[in-house]
Amino acid sequence: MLADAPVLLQCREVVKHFDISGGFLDQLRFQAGRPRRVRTLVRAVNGVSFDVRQGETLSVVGESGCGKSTLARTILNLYPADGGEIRYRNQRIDNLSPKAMLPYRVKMQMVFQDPYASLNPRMTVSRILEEPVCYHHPGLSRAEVRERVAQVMCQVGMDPTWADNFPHEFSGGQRQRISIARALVVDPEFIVADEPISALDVSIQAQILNLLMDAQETRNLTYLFISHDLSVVEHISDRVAVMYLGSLCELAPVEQLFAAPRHPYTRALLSAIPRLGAGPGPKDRIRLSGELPSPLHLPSGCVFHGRCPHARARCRQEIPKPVQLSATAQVSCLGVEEGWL
Amino acid sequence: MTRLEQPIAVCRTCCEGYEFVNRLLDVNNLEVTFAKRAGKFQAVRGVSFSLDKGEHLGLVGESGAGKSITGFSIINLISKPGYISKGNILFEGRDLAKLSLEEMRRIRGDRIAMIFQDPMMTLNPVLTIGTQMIETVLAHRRVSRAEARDISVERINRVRISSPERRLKQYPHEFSGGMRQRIVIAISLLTDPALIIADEPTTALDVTIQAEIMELLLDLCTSRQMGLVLITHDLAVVSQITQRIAVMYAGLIVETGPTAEVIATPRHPYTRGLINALPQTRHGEKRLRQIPGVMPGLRNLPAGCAFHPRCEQCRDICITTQPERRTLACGVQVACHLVEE
Repeated sequence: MLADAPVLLQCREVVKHFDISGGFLDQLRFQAGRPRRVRTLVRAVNGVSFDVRQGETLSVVGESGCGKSTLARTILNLYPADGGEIRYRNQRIDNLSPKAMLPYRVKMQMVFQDPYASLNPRMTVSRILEEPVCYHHPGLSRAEVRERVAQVMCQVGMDPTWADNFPHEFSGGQRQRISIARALVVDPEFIVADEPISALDVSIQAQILNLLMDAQETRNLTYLFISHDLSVVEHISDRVAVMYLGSLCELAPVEQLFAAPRHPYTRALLSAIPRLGAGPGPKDRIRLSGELPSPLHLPSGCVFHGRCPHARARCRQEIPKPVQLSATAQVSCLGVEEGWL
Repeated sequence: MTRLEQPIAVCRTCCEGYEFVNRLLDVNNLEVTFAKRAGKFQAVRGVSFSLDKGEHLGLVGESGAGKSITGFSIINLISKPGYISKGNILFEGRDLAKLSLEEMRRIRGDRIAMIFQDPMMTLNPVLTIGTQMIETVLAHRRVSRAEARDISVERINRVRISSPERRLKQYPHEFSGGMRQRIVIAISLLTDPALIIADEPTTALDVTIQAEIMELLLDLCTSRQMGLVLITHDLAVVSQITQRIAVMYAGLIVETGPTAEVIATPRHPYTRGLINALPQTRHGEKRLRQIPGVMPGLRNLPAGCAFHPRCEQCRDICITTQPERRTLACGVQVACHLVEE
C-alpha cells in the first residue's frame, strides 16, 4: 500500500556541518612555524538520502548526537543545508529564500520536544494558536480565525474555554497538546515531530501518541517522527530509519526492521531495548566495544567500523553506499553488500 | 563489620512473622510534609516497604508520585521546607528518621550510597575524579592518602573502566555520559555500602548505554550482596533487574509485590493502566490504552482513593473512603477496594 503512495519528500545526499571554529584568531594554528587557518567542523549529517511517502509515518531513531534532530531541522530549512537536495512534491526547497519558503511553511510544520521551551510564556493559548493562522491566511476574518482555533483545540482534546490561559497554567501533556494544535491549525500535510513525547510521563505519552495517530487518520498527515524510544517507534511507524553518527545505516518497513535487522548497529540497538517481563539477568544483548566517536573527527570508511563486531579491512577504507534491498528498504553496510553478513 | 552483627530492632506491630536476620531496611508509615507559606501538604502519605540484604526493589511511578522524595528521605536528604513528619526508617538497628545530622552524615555515603540521575550534576566539574574519590574515602575511613588511592583504583576497575590510574587525573568533562555514570557508581562503591539508592540512574542515557549501566549495577549488587532501591519511571527496566516492585501514585504505594507477579497480573487499576499504556504490550492493536486525565496535584488531592477520578471502575466507596493496603495470598499487597481476596 505504501510502496505505491506518491513520494512527498525526497532527500538526496543531505549534508549539514556546523562550523564551531570561532573567530579568525581562534582559527589560527601554527604548523611548522607558519600560521595556518584551521576550521573545526561538527559533521552532524553526512549524505543522508531517503524518501517519505504520502500518508506514512517515517521514524528516525538513533542515540543522542547521531544527527537526527539536525536532519529534521535541515529538512524544514530551519538550518540551511550544506549539500545535497531536498525536494517537496518534486520542488526543490533547500535553496529557497525565507520568503519563497513561505508557501511550504503552511504545508510543513514541526512539533518540538520540550513543551516548556517551545511555547512563549507571555502569550495566551489563543494568541499562540491564532498567530500562525493570521500570518499564513491574512484574508481570514477575526471570527473565522477564532472558529478555526476552537475547532483544532477540540480536536486535540482541549476545552476551548481555556484559550485565555497562559502555558504555565497547563501540565506537560496539555502543553504538548497546545504545540500539536499550533502545528495543526494551519492545516499542514507534513509534520516533523522531534521527540514529541520524551519529556512526558508514560500514561501521558499514550494520550499524546493516540492524539497524533488520530490526527493522522482524520487529516491524512505524513509524519517524520524523531525518537530514541524504540518501543514507541515500533508502535507508531510504517518505516524506520536508523541513524548513526550522521549517516543512515538502515531504512526498512517497521516489521522487517524489528524482525530481521540487517545492519550490525541496528541489531545492537534493538538488542538493548528493555523488554517488559523479560526477567532479570543479562540477555543475548550484543555488546558494542568502545565509545561513540565524536562528529568532530569522523572515522574513515564506515562510521561504525570501530565498534562493529564484524568489521573487515574494507570497512575501514570505504564508505558503504546504500544497498536497495526492496522498494522500501535500504541498508548501508559493506557486509550486506558483499553478502557475508 | 561488627555493626552488621548488632541485633536489629524489631517493630512487632508491623513486621511480625518476618525473618529479621536478613532484613536490611524497614520503612514504616513514612510521611513527608512540606510546610510552605501557602499551607502544608504531604508529598509522601504513609509509605511502608522493606528490603532484605541483597534484594533489589523497584520504586516506580510518574513524576510527582513521591518516589524520589521517598528515596531521599531514607538518607534524610529532604531539605526545608520539607521534613519527615511521621513514621520510622529502620536500617541496621537504628531509626534513620531520628538520627542527628552528624550521625546521619556518617551513614550517608558509607553504609548507604546514592546515585543520582544526572552524573554531570553529581560530579564536581572543577575537581579531578581522583580528588573526589579520595576525598570520599578519607571522609569515612581512617586510611592514608595512598591507601585511599588504591581503593579508588580498585573501584574504577570494578566498574570496568580501563587504565584507572590515568582516569584519576581526569576531569568529569573528559568522560562521556555513560562513563560519568560509571564513575558515580564507582564512588558509591568506595565504602562498600550495604544499600544503594539509585534515582533514575539511566534516564539521561541512551538505550545501549542504559543496558550496560543496568547490567553493571545488577552484577555489582548481586556479587556483593548489596541492597538496591531503584527509583524509575521505566517499568521495563524494573522488570529486568528487580525482585520486588512498588508502584507509587500520589504519595502512596498502591501495589507492591514480586516483580514478575505484578507485571504479569497487575491488580491495581493504576498499575494495569501503566502497563497497558506501554506500546510494547499492545500487539497488533493500533490505539494505545491511555489512562484519562492527569495525576492530581498534592495540594488538592481528591477524597477517598486518590486514583478514583481517573479510574474506569470507580464505585461509590472509592470516592468516599481511602482503601487500606491488603495482602493477597500470592504475596502482592494492593490498596484498592475492587480487588477481591
